[in-house]
Amino acid sequence: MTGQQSDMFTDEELSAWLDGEAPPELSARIAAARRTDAGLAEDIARLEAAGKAMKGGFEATLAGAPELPAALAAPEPSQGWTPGALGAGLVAGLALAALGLGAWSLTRPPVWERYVASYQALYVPQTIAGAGLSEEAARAQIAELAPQLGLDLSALPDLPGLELRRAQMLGLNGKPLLQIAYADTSGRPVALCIIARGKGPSDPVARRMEGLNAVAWSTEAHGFLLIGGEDGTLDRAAEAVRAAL
Amino acid sequence: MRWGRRNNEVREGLAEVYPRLWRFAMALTGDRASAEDLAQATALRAIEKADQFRPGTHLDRWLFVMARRVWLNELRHRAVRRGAGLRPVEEIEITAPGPDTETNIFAAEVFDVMNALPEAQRVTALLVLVEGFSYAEAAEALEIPVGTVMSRVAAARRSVASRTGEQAQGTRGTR
Repeated sequence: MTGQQSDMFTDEELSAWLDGEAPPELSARIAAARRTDAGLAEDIARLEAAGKAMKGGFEATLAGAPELPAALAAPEPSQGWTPGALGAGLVAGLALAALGLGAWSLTRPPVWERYVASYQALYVPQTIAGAGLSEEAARAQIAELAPQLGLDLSALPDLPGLELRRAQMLGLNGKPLLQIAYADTSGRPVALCIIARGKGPSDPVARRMEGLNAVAWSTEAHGFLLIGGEDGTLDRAAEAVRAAL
Repeated sequence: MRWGRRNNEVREGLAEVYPRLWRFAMALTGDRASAEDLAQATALRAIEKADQFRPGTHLDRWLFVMARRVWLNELRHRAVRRGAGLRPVEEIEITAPGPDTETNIFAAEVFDVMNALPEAQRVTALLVLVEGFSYAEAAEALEIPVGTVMSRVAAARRSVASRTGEQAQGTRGTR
């Protein structure tokens, strides 16, 4: 043991107190003793710092966390799920894993776009029909969330052929990912997704991912992906976004 | 179709929870390769068992419990019995998108200290100090008495406190 003063409480008691798990009577005794006992106060500070160091360490570790392997993330075509189809999906997933995800990723869009595509593939018209937000409320959401990306979206225009439904913050590997959901004229879900990603600017490219049309481009500090709906609508919408931002 | 909804909820949530699932696996296994192996096996299991997930409950907690069972029952002994089976991650060579080097170094240093802790302390400390579990919740997730949670967290704190104390006197600021 270290300081003899702290012998009046066990490590369990002090630790429980730091975690807010000590019963009221014990809490009161520790709090009172700490005020008058410098050695105890110092020992508590050391234990508290140790807890914070562990927390910080674990949190930093998250930055190096891998993403869900695409083979596990890729959903089935959105025809409705059956156990049989899922089984087939798993077999396909395992086959992909065996082939080697490294080589696979070389020929694929960036990881974040694949995630977005996997999500978007699960969306059906009801997903966004139920969003239930006025356009004004959705715009307020965008204004509130955009600063987390380090981006000013106040100039984001109405997109031709698309109706704004909602905005929500998602995250990938600890990085914020803003998803702005729209419905096209047939009610089909379309999303504009933005992630902070300093890979430099790139021109729009058309993609086909998870059975969905998509347009991807990037600016100095952000990646953009418009996905879902008709090709033509997407192109016009992408043009409108790019012209405004 | 209830089954499908649950499945979607698990699938949709999985990508978001996955980094934290991997971190939990890191705390359990203590090394990166085993952690990726375990996280993948757990994700696969979760998709299989999606019909057992109760919508509206915590997906992360459900996954942590599952990961721990997969680890204790199967992977810890390196006996994955699943048809073709997942190959060890080292062979697949997934290229993880690299975090910046500075973060890596910091995480590595702290992990050196934490890796010196017994597995049980590491996992319990993660749940309580980082994931915000109460002692009772951690006890339930780890299938141990509350008193054991309390002594593990206390022991982890004391152990890290004495190690970082040494470092503060010795090598701080040399990097």
